[in-house]
Amino acid sequence: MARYLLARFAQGLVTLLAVSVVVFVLSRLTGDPLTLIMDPMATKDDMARELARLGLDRSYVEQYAIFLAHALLGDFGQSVFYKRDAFGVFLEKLPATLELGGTAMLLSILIAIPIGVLSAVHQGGWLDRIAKIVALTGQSAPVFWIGLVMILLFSVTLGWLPTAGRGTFRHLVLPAITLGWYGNAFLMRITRSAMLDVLGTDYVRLARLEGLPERRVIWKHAFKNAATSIVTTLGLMSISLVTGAVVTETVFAWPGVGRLTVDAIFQRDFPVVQTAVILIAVMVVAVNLAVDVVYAWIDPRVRFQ
Amino acid sequence: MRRSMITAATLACLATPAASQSLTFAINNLGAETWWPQDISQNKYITSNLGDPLIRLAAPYSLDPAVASAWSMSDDGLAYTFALRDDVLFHDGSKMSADDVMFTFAPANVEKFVGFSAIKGGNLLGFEVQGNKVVMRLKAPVPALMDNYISRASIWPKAYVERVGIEGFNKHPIGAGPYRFVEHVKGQHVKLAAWERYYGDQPQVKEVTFRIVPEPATRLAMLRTGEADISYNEVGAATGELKKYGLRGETYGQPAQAVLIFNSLLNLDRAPGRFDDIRVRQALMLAVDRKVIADAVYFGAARPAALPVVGTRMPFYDPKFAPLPYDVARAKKLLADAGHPQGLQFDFTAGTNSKDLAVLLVSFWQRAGIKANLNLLDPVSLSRAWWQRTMQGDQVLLVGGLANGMASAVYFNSKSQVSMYDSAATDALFAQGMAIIDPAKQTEWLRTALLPAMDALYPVAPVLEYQEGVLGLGPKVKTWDRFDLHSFGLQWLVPK
Repeated sequence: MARYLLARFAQGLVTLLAVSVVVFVLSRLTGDPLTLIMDPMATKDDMARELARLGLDRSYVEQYAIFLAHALLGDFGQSVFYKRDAFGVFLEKLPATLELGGTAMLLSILIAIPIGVLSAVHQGGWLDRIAKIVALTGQSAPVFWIGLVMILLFSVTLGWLPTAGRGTFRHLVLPAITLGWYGNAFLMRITRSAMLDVLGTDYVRLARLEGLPERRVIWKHAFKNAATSIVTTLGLMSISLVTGAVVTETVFAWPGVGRLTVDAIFQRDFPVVQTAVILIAVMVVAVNLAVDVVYAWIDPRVRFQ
Repeated sequence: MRRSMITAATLACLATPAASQSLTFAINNLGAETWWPQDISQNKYITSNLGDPLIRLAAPYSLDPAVASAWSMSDDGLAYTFALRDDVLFHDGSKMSADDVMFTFAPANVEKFVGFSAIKGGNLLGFEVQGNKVVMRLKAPVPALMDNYISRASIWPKAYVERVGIEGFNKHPIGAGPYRFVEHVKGQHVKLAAWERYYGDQPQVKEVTFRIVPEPATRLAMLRTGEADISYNEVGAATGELKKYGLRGETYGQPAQAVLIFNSLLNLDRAPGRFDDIRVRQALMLAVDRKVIADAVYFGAARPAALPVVGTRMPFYDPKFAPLPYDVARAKKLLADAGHPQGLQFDFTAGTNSKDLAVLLVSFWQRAGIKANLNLLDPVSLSRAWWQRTMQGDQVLLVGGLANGMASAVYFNSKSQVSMYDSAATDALFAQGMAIIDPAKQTEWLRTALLPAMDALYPVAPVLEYQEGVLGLGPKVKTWDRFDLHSFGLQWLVPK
């Protein structure tokens, strides 16, 4: 087990190194921040001075070496735009994203998993049919469109909920539903198909023949075995709730890391882009590692392998 | 019990401003949300309400008093005298003095300002205090000093900045402007309240909250629900959206232009190309019904432009330089005369933010036998390619620029990063104009010497002119009396 986790950890480190190179090079290929941060009255000499001050006049290799050496010590550099520690800027926005993502995830777990299980148990029934339509809609409609429709319906037309911003629980409702919309649909479908696979197996039939209560058959015997796929999906979802928050955070003016990253990309704020992408990659690697641990815990075969 | 409830209700009413006295402004962003004036990304929407300059630029070439009640310039343009008001109080209650003016313009501070190049590098010699007057002395004259520099710099409190430092100032900035800083929740909102001891007229709106809402559709929705009373919009589609929902829009800010620039001409030190011929450039404009485009894309908030850099509403604008009309036959004839009887084909690059305008231009050109291969770039990449001269071939670029005459002098000067052309002849003519210190004489020079030379000096094709932005106004706003060019004066906001 320890060797298995160690191997996964090493793979994670290689992934992070690769991500750091890719984000470093790609962000620089799109230009530098000077056109945005300098006043139009600035002269070409002003521009050259600022470029040198930011260290952007050095070669890419030199810049990367400096960045990596500092990043390993936890120093991701100063934000060009905010003129503060880029790591601090990222951390400042992280709670908002975690709050939104966490709520969306909770909604998914509370809504999508039970509906997915019940759809499988009552395959072909009215709940299954409705769930299929909802899942299809959820996966087909773009998040941006869902968000705006939510605003037009619940804020503009009905006036029930605030349009945008962060503050009270009422502010959280629309963005959380919007963010969780796609994941809900996906999780619902995965849960249903995983349950259908398990419900057709011999041991479930045997459990029923033994006269075990149906609730126990479904939740203890069938669901536990379907949980591997569901845990994987939840792992993937938790990542997409952070990375996918970009659109939702923009539409609902939610001050999180998604919006920060997009703004930083457009502002060519390299330190913030690098910090955000690398730390999100760290989160992806950590979640994947956690999923592997949960796998091993749920399924003894993984441990033995 | 009943009496205490009434008292409580009365107190609550007194504590909370009436609806019309408290407005919310949905804005696309507030930059880095720092307020120190030397920060490159400090935001004028906030800072221009917290602090007042010595004088204001009310309109192009029109100055108004602010914390200086009067001003004058010496004949040689080397000394500027400002008479300071004696009733100006900063938001901490301290009185503004000559020390604060000298602190704001201290060389160590000026050197850190972005821009302000004309008074950097030792050109600002220093100050003299004569009673309530401050005399600013320069080594060399700086034309448009008032328009470009003095009116852009709010006066900041020396003692407060020295006491709290820049970090402290960014947390709670103070100035002598009409509004004081109340609250800032990062990434979400900034709240300002009217400064009760403001030296000028008391603002009619007692409290303004700037809420950061990046998505235009959400800002419009907030205007419709009443969650916002004012919304910031780019000129363009939003103007139409506002009209659709019966909301009012008001244009504001610097006069700007959409201009075609020709890559082959950006560096004039090269072999002549087809766009050198003024007939070809004129054909591009004659082939386009710009009034139709102005109505379709800008919903009437734009109009055809005549000359580059100089808007038709500039005080020195000469109406004889009228915009070229829509005349396809003449466009075809000019092309034929210029040696392109079969029409013209070129690569055309525009920013994604000008997509609608670019698509309509291409469509009009097509009718005149002009084929433009449209390539859309994100605005930053386009600016970078333009400013750093990295575009290849003789493609045509659609860019935006200020149309503010001498105040946008930066476009005339090849040393500026946004210079449209690098030409020694242009620099020489510009230097000639800059040497004229007297504003009246300079205006006359602009009219008689610069305007006629425009086509030769700036081989661009100005398409449309408009203002910087359009504000959506909700039902609680009656009107916005005026906008300064460098500020965003909430004190002129009139609620219903």
